[in-house]
Amino acid sequence: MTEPAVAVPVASMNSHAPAAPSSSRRFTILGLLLLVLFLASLYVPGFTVKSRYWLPLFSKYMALALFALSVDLIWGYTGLLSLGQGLYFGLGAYAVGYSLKLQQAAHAAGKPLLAGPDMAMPDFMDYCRLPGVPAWIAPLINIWLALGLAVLLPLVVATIFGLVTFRLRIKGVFFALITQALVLAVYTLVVNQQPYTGGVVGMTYLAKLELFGHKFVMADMYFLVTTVLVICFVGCAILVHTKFGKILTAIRDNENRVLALGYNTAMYKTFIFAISGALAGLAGALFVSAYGTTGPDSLGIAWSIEVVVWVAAGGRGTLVGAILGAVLVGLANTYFNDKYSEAWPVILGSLFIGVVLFLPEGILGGLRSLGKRLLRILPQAAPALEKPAPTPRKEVNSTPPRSSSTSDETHPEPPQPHEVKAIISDLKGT
Amino acid sequence: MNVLALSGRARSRALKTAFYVVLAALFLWLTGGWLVDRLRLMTGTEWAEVLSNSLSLSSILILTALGLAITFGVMRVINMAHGDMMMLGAYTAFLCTDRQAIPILVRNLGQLLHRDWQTDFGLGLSLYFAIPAAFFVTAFVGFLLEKCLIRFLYKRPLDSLLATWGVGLIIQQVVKLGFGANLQPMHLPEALQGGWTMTNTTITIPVYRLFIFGVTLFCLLLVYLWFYRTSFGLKIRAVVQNRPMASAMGISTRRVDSLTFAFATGLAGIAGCILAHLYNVKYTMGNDYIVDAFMVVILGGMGQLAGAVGGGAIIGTGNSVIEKLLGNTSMAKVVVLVGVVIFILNRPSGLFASKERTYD
Repeated sequence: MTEPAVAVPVASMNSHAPAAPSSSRRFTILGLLLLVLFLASLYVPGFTVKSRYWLPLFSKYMALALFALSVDLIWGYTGLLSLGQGLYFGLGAYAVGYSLKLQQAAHAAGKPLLAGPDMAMPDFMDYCRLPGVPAWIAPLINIWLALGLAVLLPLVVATIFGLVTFRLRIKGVFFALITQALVLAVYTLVVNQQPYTGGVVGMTYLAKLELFGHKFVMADMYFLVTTVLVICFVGCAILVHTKFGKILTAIRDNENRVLALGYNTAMYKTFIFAISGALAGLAGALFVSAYGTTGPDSLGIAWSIEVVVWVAAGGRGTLVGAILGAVLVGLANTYFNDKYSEAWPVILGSLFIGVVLFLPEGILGGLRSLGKRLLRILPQAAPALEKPAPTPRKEVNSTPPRSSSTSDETHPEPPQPHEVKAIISDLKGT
Repeated sequence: MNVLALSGRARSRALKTAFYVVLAALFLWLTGGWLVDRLRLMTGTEWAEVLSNSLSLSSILILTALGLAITFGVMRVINMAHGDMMMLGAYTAFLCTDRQAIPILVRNLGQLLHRDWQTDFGLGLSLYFAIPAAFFVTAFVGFLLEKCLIRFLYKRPLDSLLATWGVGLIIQQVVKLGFGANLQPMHLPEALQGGWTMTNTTITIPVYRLFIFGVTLFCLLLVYLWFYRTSFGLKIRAVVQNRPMASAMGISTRRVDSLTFAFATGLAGIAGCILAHLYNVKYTMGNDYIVDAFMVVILGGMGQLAGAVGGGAIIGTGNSVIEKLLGNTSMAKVVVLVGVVIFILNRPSGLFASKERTYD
């Protein structure tokens, strides 16, 4: 059953490798320019949107874009479909949620923001007649501790889980289903332990995020979330363009070859899984501070699958695609939930099916192939961009051709003997 | 036994076993005999309750997982809409057995189109008719699903997972629009109500739970005969073993695929129909079982129909026993899920591993 995870061509942003160096440089500069423009455009809603309804929503989309980025790292680049990313998102969300809830209770009771035996009780603990704030929750009233835990806890959990699963070489479908089972277990636990977690409702009426004595509301909040997103984006972009990132892509495309070359793929996968978990935790923390509530839905099964489809819709294996997908699907969600709330699940379901069947590379991939087709139709219009189309190479072991960069590097050599054998066996197979 | 004298693999296995023994001992020590006392003090009635619960839960899990074992274990497609196929089976039973069902459906459809539609017509058929009806309706939906979607997704299991999740969302929403979001109660036939008392004891088991067990046994027998004693079953096994060769022998692999898939989803329909009479009908009822059913298939071992039976029995029984011990359904589910994940991490090939070495 261990099919290589995703067998679709994935084109990564800015990774065209054309033959001529001059056009390569032009591509890179153009790509960088577009990228900077894109990142700058993320800040625009903070200046233009004044509505008290829309601005928090945009902050929410930015937090979700970070979540999508974390999924893209492990799914788009490494080929590991985790249906349990909600677990890490939820850990971050609940860590900060506890903090803001305790702060809100303290504000309401006029007490200082300090952990202690006589600290104010949040309402949901009060309803359930807890004698006092549990000792493991109380210190979280310190927002810095909560923010630290929101990143560290997912990091540690993901590292442990990754070490165990990847060293056993569990991957593909099994990995997806096991992560899903775990997230279901945690969800059930959280819903069940109402005195400690708020149960199905979760935590509502949270205090506003306050750092360095400054309260983050509306535009401030938006800029904070967007800045964190941009920093993480740049970090991820650097990561995936280093040698480390190339190895991740290689693991996605053919793990056995990478193993045979002597790389310890389990360690690479654990590392990226941990990074991705930390990013998801951070996204959860930002989501809660921007949105003002947290509930068990943020670590439900549906949530963890939905984020995958945001990435798929935007374009898996491209960082820009993840952000684009999260924001676009988020906007669509808000729009349809307003107007035709009953139709939204049907639209979302169709999105799942449509992306898988018709747009396996997402919006970005669709745009790119559209652009290529346009270039082919109008070769005179842009002679600099035209390249001789390489003859499609018969891949060994019938693995479908993957990224555009590999097919660009095709050498016009006669096929090697083992390739001939593979082609023959392939013909036999079909 | 000198652990250090063993060779690498045997040593690691011995150390692992020792680790789990220590862990179990620690757990027993921490619970301080509470568990032992709890087990010792359980009365006959409580045991009977555990028995009947585990009978019905295991049966439903086995029926659901049997369909999944065919689609996931044999055809290598992940059908996340399998739980929603259960739900469709349950609603088919609701339509067949409840006289209020068709009026509700017609009224809701009318509301959707801004018309005032009313009807008094309703079917009041018995459960014995509803079970085959549920099978055929869900099998037909499964057939359509295979023809329209799944056949493009063979060899792309992760994509099939995403696409079928989308299908599940759509089916749920459509059913919600048609029947409303309320719980719908179901009525059992007279013969299946009441309990069956074991002679000379006070132990009573509800007749319906025994009926569920019987239906499951019947379906298992049917699947066995179908797979191993009919020419179509032979074709399925041939296609699974070597698709191109089977095709060269003149077997229509397309037809085999779609009919097998339809049969597998039909089994889910039966499970849903039974489940509906045990509890209630709701459009989200499939969600509670889909992850468990996948765990059953993985626990049992891929590509093994016996695995689904063993896995279903273990998870169903474990769930009921732990539920009784803890007195809490949700916590039992958590314990079982985590336990199964730990087991799978230790033995990824499952209980009944098929002996094969593959280059992945």
